[in-house]
Amino acid sequence: MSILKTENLTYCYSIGTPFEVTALDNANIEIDEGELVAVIGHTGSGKSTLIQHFNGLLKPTNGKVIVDGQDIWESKKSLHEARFKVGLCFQYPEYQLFEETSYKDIAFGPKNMKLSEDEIDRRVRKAAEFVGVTDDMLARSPFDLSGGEKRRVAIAGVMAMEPKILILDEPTSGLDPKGRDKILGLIKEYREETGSTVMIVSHSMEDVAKIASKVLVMNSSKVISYDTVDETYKRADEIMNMGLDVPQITKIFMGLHEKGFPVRTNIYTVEQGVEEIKRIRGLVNGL
Amino acid sequence: MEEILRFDNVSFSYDEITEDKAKTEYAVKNVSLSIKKGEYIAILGHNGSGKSTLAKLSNAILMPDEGTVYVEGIPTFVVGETEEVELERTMKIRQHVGMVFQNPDNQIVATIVEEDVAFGPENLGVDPIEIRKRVDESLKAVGMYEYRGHEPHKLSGGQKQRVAIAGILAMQPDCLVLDESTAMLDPRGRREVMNTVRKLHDELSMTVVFITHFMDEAVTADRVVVMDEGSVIMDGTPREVFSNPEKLRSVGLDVPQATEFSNELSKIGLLMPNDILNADECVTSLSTLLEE
Amino acid sequence: MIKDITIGQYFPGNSIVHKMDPRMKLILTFVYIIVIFVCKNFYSLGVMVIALVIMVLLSKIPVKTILKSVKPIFIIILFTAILNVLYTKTGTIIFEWKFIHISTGGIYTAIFMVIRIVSLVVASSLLTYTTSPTLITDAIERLLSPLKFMRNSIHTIAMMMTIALRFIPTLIEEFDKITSAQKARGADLETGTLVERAKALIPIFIPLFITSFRRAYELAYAMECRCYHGAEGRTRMKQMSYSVRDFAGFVFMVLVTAGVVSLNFVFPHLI
Repeated sequence: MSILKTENLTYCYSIGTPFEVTALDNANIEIDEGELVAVIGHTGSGKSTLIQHFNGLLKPTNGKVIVDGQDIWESKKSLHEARFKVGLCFQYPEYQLFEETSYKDIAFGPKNMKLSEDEIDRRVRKAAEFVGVTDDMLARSPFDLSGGEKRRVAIAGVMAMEPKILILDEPTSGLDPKGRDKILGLIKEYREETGSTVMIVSHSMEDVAKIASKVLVMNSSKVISYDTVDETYKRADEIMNMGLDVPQITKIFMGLHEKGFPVRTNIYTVEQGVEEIKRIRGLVNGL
Repeated sequence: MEEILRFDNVSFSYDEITEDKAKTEYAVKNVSLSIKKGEYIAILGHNGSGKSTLAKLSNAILMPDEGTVYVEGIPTFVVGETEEVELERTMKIRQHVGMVFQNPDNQIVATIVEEDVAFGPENLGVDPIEIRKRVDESLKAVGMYEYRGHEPHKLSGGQKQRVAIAGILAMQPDCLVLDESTAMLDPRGRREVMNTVRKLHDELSMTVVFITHFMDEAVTADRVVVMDEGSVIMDGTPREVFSNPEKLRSVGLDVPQATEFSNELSKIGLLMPNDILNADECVTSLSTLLEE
Repeated sequence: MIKDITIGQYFPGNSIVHKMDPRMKLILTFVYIIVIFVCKNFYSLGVMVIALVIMVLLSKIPVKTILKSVKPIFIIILFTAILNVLYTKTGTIIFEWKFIHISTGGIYTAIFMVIRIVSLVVASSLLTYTTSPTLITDAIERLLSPLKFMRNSIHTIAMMMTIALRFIPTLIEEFDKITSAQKARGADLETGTLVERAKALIPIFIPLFITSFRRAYELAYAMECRCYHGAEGRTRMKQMSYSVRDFAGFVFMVLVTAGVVSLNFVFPHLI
C-alpha cells in the first residue's frame, strides 16, 4: 500500500505578479511503505518544495497530497495529523536547537503531540539510542556538544515524534566523511529497525547509492524519474547532464563502455565494479 | 622558490595552557610547514583535526602559543610592540595572506557586490581610482563582473563565495587561504569555487592553501598535507598521499574511488598502477590491461 | 520567494536623478519638504507639484511604481481629507445633513492637504527609489563628517547601518527557515492566547539569536581579515563629487523656492 501519494501536485510562488515562479510542476508520485527513498536534484530543482508539501508546510497551488490514504488538506484535523505522521528534518537542523538540555530539545516534538510524560520519556530515550546520544549528552546543553553530535540530537528530535515517514533534508551537508558515514549508517539502521518509510534529500548520488532502495530524481521543478537505484543508474549520463555528480566508479564504467567494452554502466560501488570486471574478463579474453 | 608561509614548531590551544603541558588539549601541535610562492596546497583533515586553526594562525587571527608563524618573513606575533607598530604589521600580514571562510553569508559586508569587493582596499587606504580598477579586475577574475551591481543576498552560494574571493583579490594578496570554503555549497557551487581558484593559480600564479575534508578537492592540488589531532601526518604529492588508502581511512578520510578500485583490481590479479587518482587515468590503464 | 525581498525601495537606473550626488539629493529633499510647508496657496503648491513631476520624469521611474509608495499611507490621506472636509467651514456650504456641513472651503483645504502629503511622500520616495540605502547612509556620514569631534562615532553608526541593511534579508530568511523547522516539530504558532503565542516564539527566537551571534563572530573575523580597523586611514571607492547636474538641481530648487515665496505674496488666499 502506498503511504505517500501526490496527484498533479503544483506549487507556484508569487502568484499574480510578474515574478511568478513554478517551483513544482505537476508531480505525481507514489511511495510504498518501508522504502528508503533518496530524492536527488540540484539547488532549485524543486526538491525542497516537494518535501515541504508532505507535512503540509506548503499548501499546493494545485493537486493533492495523500498521506496514509488521507488527503491532508481535506480538513484541519487531517492537516494536523499530517504534521505528526510526516517528520521533516531540515538542512543544518542543529541550528534549530533551543532547549537547555538535549533531552528537553528531543522532547519538544513529542510534547507538542500532547503525549503522556511516560510516553515522551520512552520516545526520547529510544530516539537518543538510535542516534547514539548518551545519557550524559542528554543531560547536557545541546550547545556544548560537537557539530556532529548536535546534528544527531536534532535528528533525534524528529525521530522521537515516531513519524510514519521520516524526511531528512541534506542530513550530511557540512560533515566530514566520518560524520557523513555515521549519519547515513544510523538512518539505515533506523529504517531497518522501525520499518518506517524514510526519505533523504541529497545532491550526492554516491551517498544515496549506499543506502537507498529507490531514487526520485528532480530537475527544473519536475519529477524526472522514480525508480530503483539500479534502474536510475542506467541513466547516469542524463543525471550528469543535470549538473549532479555521479560516483567516480560510475564514470569509470561509462568510460569503459564508451571504449567498447561490454560492461554495464549502472555500477555505483567499488564491489560491483570488481564483480563486473571479473565477469567481463572472461569475455574480453575470449574475443 | 621563495617561501611565503612558514610554521616553525607551532602549537596552539584554545584552552588556557596549564603548568602540566601534557594535559593541555592542543588544536595544533608542533606543526612545521613551509609553503612556497605559487604552490597549490590542499590541507586535508576531518572536522577537529586542527586544519582550520592552522588557517587562522596563518594571518594573525590567532597567535601561536608556542613556535612562530612567518608570513613573507614577518612573524605574526611579536612581544612588546607599540599598538601602532603591531597594527601596521598585522595589516601587512593580512594583506599578504587573504582568507576566505566557510559561510558565504557571514563574510560579505556591503549591500552591493562591488562595494563589498572594495571593502578591503578601502580599509588599506588605497586611492579611489586604484580601488575602482582593482574591483573591476577582481570581479572579472572570478567571473562575477556582470553581477557588480547586484545585492549579495540574491546570489547563489557559489556566487557569494566568488564575490568573497574577489574581495580578497582586491587587496592584492600573494596567498589565498580558503578555510573550508566549499563545505556549505552544493556540487555546482563547489565546482564554481574550485574552477575559480584553479584559474587564479594557473593564470595569476596565486599561492593557494585549500583547506577541506573533501578528498576530491585535494586531488588536483600540487601538494597535499593531511592533518590529524593537530599534527601533520602526511605531506606529499596527491599521488604519494592517496596511494596509502589505509592510513587515510584510519583518520576518517575518503580515498578516490578510482584509487580504491585500482587497488581492489590489483588484488584479483589485474595489476593496476597504485597512484591512480581520477576516472580517466583508471579507464586508460584498465582498458590497456583488459585488451592484453 | 522571501529571498527576493528588497530592502528600502531602490529602483536601479541610469537617469540624471540616479546619477546626482546623494548628498545633494538628501539636501534637496530636505529643502523640498520644508518649502512644501511654506506653500500657502494652490499656485505655489502647483509650482511644487510641477517641480516634482519634472524630477519624476527625469528619474525615468514608472509612475505606477511611484504611486505604489503612496499606497501604504492611503488611510492617513483619506483620514486627513475627511477631517479637513468636516472641520473647515469657510466658503459656501454645499451639503448639510444633521451635524455634517460640507463647504467649498473644506473641500479646497482637503485637496490642498492631500496634494501636500502626496508630494511629500513622493519626494522622499524619489530619494529612496534613486539612491541605494548604502549610498544614503554614506551621504549622511559624509555630510556630517565636518563635525570632526564625532567623526569616529558617525563612521561606526554608518558601518552598523550598512551591516544591518546587509543582514536584514539574511535574518528574515533564517527566521522563515527556523519557523518552518519548528512547525515541522509540531510547534503551534497560530492558536492559543497571547501569552501562549508569545511563548511559542521562544523556540524560534533562541536559535535565531544564537545564529546571529555566530554570524556576528564570523563577520568580525572576516572584517579583520580584510584589514578593517575603523575610520582611521580609510578611503572610499565611490567618491562623491558635485557636478554640473548637482549644481543645476540646486539652482532649480532655489528658483522653485523663490517662486513659491513670491506666489505666496501675490496670492494671499488659498485659491
